[in-house]
Amino acid sequence: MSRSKDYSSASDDALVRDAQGGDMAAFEELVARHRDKVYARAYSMMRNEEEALDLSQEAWVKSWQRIGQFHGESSFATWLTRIVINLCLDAMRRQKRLHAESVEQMSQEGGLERHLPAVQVDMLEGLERQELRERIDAGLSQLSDAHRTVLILHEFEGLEYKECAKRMGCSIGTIMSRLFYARRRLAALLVGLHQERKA
Amino acid sequence: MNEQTAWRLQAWLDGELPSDEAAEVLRLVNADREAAALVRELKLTRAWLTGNELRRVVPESREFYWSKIERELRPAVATAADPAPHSAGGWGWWRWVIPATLAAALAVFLWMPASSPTRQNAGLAPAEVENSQEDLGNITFRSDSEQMTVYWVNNL
Amino acid sequence: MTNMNGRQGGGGWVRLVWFFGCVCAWVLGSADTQAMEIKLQAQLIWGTNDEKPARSECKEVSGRLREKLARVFKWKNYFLIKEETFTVKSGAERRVKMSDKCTLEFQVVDDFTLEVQLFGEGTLLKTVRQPIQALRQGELAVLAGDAKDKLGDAWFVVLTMPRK
Repeated sequence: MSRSKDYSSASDDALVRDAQGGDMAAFEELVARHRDKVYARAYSMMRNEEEALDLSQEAWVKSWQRIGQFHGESSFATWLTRIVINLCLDAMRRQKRLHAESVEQMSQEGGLERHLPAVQVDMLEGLERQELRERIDAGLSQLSDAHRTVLILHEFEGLEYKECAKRMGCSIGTIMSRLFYARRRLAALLVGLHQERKA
Repeated sequence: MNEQTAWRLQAWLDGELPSDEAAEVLRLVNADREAAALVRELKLTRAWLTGNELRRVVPESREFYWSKIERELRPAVATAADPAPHSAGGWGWWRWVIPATLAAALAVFLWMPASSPTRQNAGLAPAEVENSQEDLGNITFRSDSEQMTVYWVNNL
Repeated sequence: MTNMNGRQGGGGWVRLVWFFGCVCAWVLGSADTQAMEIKLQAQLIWGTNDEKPARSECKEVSGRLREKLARVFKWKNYFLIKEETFTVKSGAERRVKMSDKCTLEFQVVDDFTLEVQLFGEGTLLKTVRQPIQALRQGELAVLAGDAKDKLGDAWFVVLTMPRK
């Protein structure tokens, strides 16, 4: 691809093909298009700007190294997001943030949520979308790493239980448990946050 | 309601339950008020989350962000990922030169006296920033419009 | 005998490769060193809301730099305390004293990265790595902090690559 080529109007598929042929300018255009998405996913998992920047950039480097293995089974953005998710999961494992809890802790998972009455009224109805998003993000920040991660993988990335279990390195039963208590805790947090703000 | 039943309700909502079990769960939801309440909460939570992830943008300019990636990519491009531009004759020549250059570089490195400044620099880590007592409360930010990166140091 | 001859032939080839490799390493090494000589300008600036700083030798920062600082920071006035223009070569550290308290140390890490270390009264306070390409494109790297000896004031070290 020559320098004069208009990269900005090229499709992702065309840019990927050029990048597979070693065209770094095409790859740079892909970075420019998808960098926010990749960074946002890393941030949502790590909750730290510096780590999110480092991991998102590492994901781009890895994607360049493996771009020959991308055959278009999913969109390029989805493929890339999977790379950054794996890097984040690896980083969390290294930091022991996903470390399996003791048997006692496992059995107490959701201890508080078990006794909470189920939320029945949509108390967040009528909120501006941006405000709702900010509250959800604040709620996610208060979850444990394992609970937040399973919610991100299932709710935002649309992964099935089996796929979540594979990526997080645990059983489907653990995923079901984590997802259940993550949802219950988030619901309680959102309602609690809402009531706090109203007060 | 025990945990397993609650998880089955959730799996039913998530479409992860086989159809024969799904019918059984549906009967439970219609008959059991606690189960129905839990389903209602799980549905609400799912509805809140759907399409409502907070959007975030990279807190660096396109050029600054790319420059860090490019720095990592350049050596890879020079060696592996760029076979096309070399003609067969040219590549043959380089295939001969590179091992020789590496051997020479190794020899020069080994012969260098220990106090040589070049050797000291060769020992530097390539990418990690070394910090001393810094970074407690320090802030880094960038103004895109002013093309300015600011490192605010709190302890001078 | 055959072995001896073979060894001699191989030795000659190795010596040729060795010689050629040394020449290449020298050529490439010196080319790299020459390429990595960058010219920089460092300005120590005082930010204050006072009309005139205590130091009479300071001159007011004007022009585009003043506009840029004023758009990002809150201070009314910016006074230039010291300005230094110097070159940094790869493979050599460059130390620049900006004031009795403030010293900078520069090093070209690789083709893309400049490392700057800020020392306050001899103590390392901050290490930053700045993409050289960004500086070439007009990026300003600003190290800054609150002034210790005058509440509300601030100091700035503005690093730029002067246009040729």
